[in-house]
Amino acid sequence: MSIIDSRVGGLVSTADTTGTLQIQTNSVDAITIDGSQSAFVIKNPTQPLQIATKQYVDGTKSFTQNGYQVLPSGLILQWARINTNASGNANVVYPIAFPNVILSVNANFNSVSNFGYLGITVQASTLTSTNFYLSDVSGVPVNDASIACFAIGY
Amino acid sequence: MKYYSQTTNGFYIPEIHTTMPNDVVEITDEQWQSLLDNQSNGTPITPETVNALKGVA
Repeated sequence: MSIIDSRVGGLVSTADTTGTLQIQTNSVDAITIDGSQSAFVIKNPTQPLQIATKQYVDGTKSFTQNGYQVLPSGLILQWARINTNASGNANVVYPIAFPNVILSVNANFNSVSNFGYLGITVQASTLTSTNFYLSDVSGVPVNDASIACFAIGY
Repeated sequence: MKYYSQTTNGFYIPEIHTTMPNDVVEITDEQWQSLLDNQSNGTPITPETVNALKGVA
């Protein structure tokens, strides 16, 4: 959908496939979205203006035990719960794949019964865009330890 | 709607993954959530467990 708005001398478009609203203007001074005092005004846009709608933000989240949120910038936050196997290890598939880069993965104990056990680490060599591997490094592995994982990337 | 790839053993969403592996198959949000919940409870996500959930031999 595109709307030519003569007042701003530009084009209002929702054609962007990511669901963000694009506004392009030929006007050199300003875009006014709403005439009321509460509206925002952008002056002298140097490039096409992108606004992430609430629909887009809500459509890129899943607030569950294993979930994610994609921010309008593209930054992805993900979290997961996992229980270790008898060897104290666990493979974790992210709720969604990272399209570009994984910035950080963390894992911490979630259950009080495993408090004090510090024998697990994220194996950096196993990091892929879709998976990572938690490995016991204590030599005294805990079976069925509940681990809370958090990953960030884009 | 989500997509699953056996090759990468990962999940994809069309909102952000403009390119996906060639072998992706559609899975429902409910199936995706079940796989993650099962992973939390000790059943790893593998091509076999995904196919079993989808009812594919």
